[in-house]
Amino acid sequence: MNKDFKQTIKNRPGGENLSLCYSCGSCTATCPVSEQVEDFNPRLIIKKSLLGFSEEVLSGEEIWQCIQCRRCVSACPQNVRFADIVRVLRELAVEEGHFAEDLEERLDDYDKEVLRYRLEILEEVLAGDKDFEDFSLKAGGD
Amino acid sequence: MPDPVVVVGGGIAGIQAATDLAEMGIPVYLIEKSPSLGGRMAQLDKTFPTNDCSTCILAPKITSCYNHENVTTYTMTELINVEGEPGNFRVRLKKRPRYVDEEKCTGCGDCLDKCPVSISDEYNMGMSEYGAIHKYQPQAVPNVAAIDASECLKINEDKCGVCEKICNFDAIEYKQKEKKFVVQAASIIYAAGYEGFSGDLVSDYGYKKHPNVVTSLEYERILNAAGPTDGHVIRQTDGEEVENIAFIHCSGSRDRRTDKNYCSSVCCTYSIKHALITKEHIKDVNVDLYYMDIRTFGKGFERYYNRAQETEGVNFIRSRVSEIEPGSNPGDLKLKATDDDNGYCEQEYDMVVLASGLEPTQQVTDSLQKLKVRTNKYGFVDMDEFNPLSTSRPGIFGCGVVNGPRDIPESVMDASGAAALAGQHAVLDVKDMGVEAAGDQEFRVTQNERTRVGVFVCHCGTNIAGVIDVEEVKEKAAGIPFVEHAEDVKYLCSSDSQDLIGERIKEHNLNRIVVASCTPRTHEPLFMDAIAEAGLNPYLLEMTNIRDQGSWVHKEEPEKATWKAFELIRAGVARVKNALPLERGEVDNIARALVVGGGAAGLNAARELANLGFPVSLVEREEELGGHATSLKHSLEGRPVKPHLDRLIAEVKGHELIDIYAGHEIKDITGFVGNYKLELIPPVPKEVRSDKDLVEIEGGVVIVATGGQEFEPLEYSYQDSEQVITQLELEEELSSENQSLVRDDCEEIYMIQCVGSREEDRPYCSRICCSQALRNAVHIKENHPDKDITILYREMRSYGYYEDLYRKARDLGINFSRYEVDNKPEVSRKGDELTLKYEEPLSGKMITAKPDLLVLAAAILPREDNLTLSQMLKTPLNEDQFFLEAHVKLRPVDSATDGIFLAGLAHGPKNLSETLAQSRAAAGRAASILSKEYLLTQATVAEVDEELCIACGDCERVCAYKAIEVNEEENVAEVNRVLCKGCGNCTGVCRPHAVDLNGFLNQQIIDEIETLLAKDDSEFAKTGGV
Repeated sequence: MNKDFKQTIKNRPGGENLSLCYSCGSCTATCPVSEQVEDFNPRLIIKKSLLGFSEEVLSGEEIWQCIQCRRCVSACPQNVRFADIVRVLRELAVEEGHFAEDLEERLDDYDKEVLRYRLEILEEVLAGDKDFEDFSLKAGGD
Repeated sequence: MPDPVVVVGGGIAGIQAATDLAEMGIPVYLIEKSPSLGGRMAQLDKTFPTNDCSTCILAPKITSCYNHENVTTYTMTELINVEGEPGNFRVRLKKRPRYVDEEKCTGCGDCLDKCPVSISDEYNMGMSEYGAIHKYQPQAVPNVAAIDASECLKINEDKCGVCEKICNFDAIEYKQKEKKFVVQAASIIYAAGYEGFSGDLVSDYGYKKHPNVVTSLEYERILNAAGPTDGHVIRQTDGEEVENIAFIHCSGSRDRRTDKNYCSSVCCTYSIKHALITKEHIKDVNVDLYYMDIRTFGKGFERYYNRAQETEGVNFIRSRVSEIEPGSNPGDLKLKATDDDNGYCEQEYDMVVLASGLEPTQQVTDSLQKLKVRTNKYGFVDMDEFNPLSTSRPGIFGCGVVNGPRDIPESVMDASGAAALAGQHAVLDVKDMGVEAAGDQEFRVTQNERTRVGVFVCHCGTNIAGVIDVEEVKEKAAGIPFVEHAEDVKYLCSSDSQDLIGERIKEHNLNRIVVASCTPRTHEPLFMDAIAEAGLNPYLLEMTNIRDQGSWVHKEEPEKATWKAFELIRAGVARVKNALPLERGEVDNIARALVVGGGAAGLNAARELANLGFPVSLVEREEELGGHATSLKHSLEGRPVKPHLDRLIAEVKGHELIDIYAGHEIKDITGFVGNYKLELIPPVPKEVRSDKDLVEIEGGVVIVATGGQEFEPLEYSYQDSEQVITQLELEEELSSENQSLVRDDCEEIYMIQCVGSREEDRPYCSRICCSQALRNAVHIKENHPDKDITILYREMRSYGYYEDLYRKARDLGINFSRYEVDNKPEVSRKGDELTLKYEEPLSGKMITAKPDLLVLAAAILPREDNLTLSQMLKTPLNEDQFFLEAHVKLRPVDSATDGIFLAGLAHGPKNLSETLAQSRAAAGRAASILSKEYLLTQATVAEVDEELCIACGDCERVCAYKAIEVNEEENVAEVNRVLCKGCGNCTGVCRPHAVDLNGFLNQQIIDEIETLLAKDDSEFAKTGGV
């Protein structure tokens, strides 16, 4: 257990409000990733950080699953700002050598690519040529 | 005559304050902005934790307040401004036009159905409609209609006018104008109440978007039998009965985004009430409650929570709901939440109720500012915790939710306390105030007359006559034996009808009266006055209710209703024919208060009573005054306690009206209201003490303020380690000069909550421990930021503004973790080293710590000698051995015994500020008795026939009021006419029929029943006879 972990996060921009969390679960309840992946639980990540389980939090892949949609930020009644805390955690994870330095950048690039793909599909669907089903990723896998 | 007091707001708080002042003999102007008294409480269906019908317990209070000779009520009236100073305020008021003459309107309701306009029914939260002319609520007080000018066709377009045509009393006045007027007042009580949060406060819940999402106040109306759905829990969209319903706690409260970080304090318990009542309505319904912390911190509320947890189909889910989306079927709702302590989860429901919090209306906040009364950041009255109920402006006092979120009993306490403070400005002349004496009116002697009964049958407009053939009933009634005269009248309640009854009494020399009309609950005093006016003893009256129990319930069967009306009258005649004239008695009242306990509660109660002008004897068993408060370092707001306590003690010691008996033990207590006697053992060593040393003091009332005590924990190594202390011991540590425990090498501090509270053998919440732990932790952390502090709790109960303290504690970096009652933290000790292990429920991890200091939030216990004291006082304790109040909702400082009042920890756990408020309330309630030179007894009390009594004591055993006792010397039971409430318990158990109840004599009731059971030969034109 790393008792200073909480303070380390609070000292970084974006992590200041970590300890304001009262564990209500609004972040998890509104999170589109949590809806898909049972193990992704923002409330639990915050609690583990507060308790000082730094190794477990920083080495796990959960902190990279966040898509930075910031729904948790608007849902939080205490303004804890989980989306910003996750970015602090990613920084720390890289600094401690758990992940490659360019992971964040590569993830960003990939997100942009997904976004471009989404925009293209939208354009084609709106033009009336095709429907969303034609681009179903599930269908492509079969 | 003392100067008047203005009370703003006619909800339960205002009504209580007005009644208490009026009972002290102080004239009151009661100002209400709506057309009826009653406020929010009148909109509630049931009240927690007893599930009492709200209207049923409130209505009698409203009626007695409204009818009190010292209360002048102005409805539809608002306060404009206040000039002057305490003792001499000039209060400018504005009365909006009602367009109905309040003197002439009898509330018959003839006009209500005829109005062609439909408008939204404010009383039903807009979920139903009534006419432009309407009664604000069915039980409106005053029982008078009102016209909504903005919707009335006559007022706006000079069309229609149907209500004027229909009204038989010439009560409609379309030309009424707004009136402005000024009243003079010694002081002002502000009790303007609150608004429930708007449903769309939390936009994620889509309140307006989803029609089946309702607020808690709307749900109260839905549950209510007189509400928009006649008490059926059905959906607005399709009228389908609900099978699956969710309640969302903290809908807007504890939320920074809504600028309402405070806890609204009542929503947890009222949601539990909603869950239980919903279950009563629909047996198989599934009820889910989504909560963050269950805050059932009030007296008896934890048991209520436990009861709900044990109810099948009521589920508590620890999760805040993030949003509500449309469900898979039309009208259904999908809630996004977590699965308790686990991850994401969604559930669908038929209906969702938002547990909306309490906030002051903008209007209330604005008018407080106009009054130059300081408000806090949430818009409530800014209150000094050492001077509760006072506002920043001298002479103006707050009570009820304007002082912050609180429930009904706390609002009622506030009200009686505010009355005690406001009364101090009204310059009471103790010798000349509130003297109540039995009327010296001489009544006609009727004992030797032939029985001549007069029967009056009321049409109540069409209310009765529309169903029942009133004329036929009258004609048949004239033929009943002993009936001398029978008459039907359009409206018996109108003032000319009262005169008519008087004339008939004289004309026909009537000596018994039967009134067949509506309910005696509201109208009996009126008819008693009418016949007393005519020189007849008012107890020679019998009312039968042929409206509520006749025309209203048998609308579809007019013939049978007519027959039933006649039967009821026949029974009424049979009963009243043997009625005896009764009189109320007088008992001397000693104008002195006896206060037992010299802690903060007792001191404060004594001070307020003395400031009102009443002599007080204060008894304290210790030599020093101050009680538990002496060991408190700082208040929950973080201010030092000692200076305030010292000042209070100095004031009490210096007050010429207060006698202090410090170091005195109570040997015995005897007497009853008006005449209590305390026998005291003075601080004389046993060896040299004799009976002559005993001190006797007498008074009209007793205030019990004996305090409580801290639980001594047996767990968590408290008994065998000096590093384990209680929160109270931590306070002492923090206030001592050289702190021996919180020193530099003490790096890690743990606090454990609910030690001895909320457990099987002590199932109550000690209420103050959460905020106390937060305060102490914040204090330490602010002075020593490097210390690591962790609070282990079950539910964080930082109610009201203490939620801000909770947030501050988290902001400072104090750690919080939950534990479950069946998986408590484990503490072990090896030498000086403490080891603490607990399972953190969110992560499921076992955490091990080595605290340097462990602080336990030990339960607040009732004093061990409560039982002895309660036996001496003959007033009961509750199941947890705290003193029991007369009614949990509406009489929170009265004990079950007349003339005994409760304050502070003797009544139950509460913090210092709440104790000070309650002791003011006890003073206010006590003053309403002390101000009377004589106490009037009821006329309808039990009476013992000494010849028949066998002194078996059965009556004594069943009397709930300790009003009947066997005199061991004389061997007969004796009734204390002051204490007897006329309930009739004793008459029911008395085997030799030695005890009878005046006004309800056994013979009268037997006559009544036999008449109802007898074969009825009378024939009715419409063959209603069965």
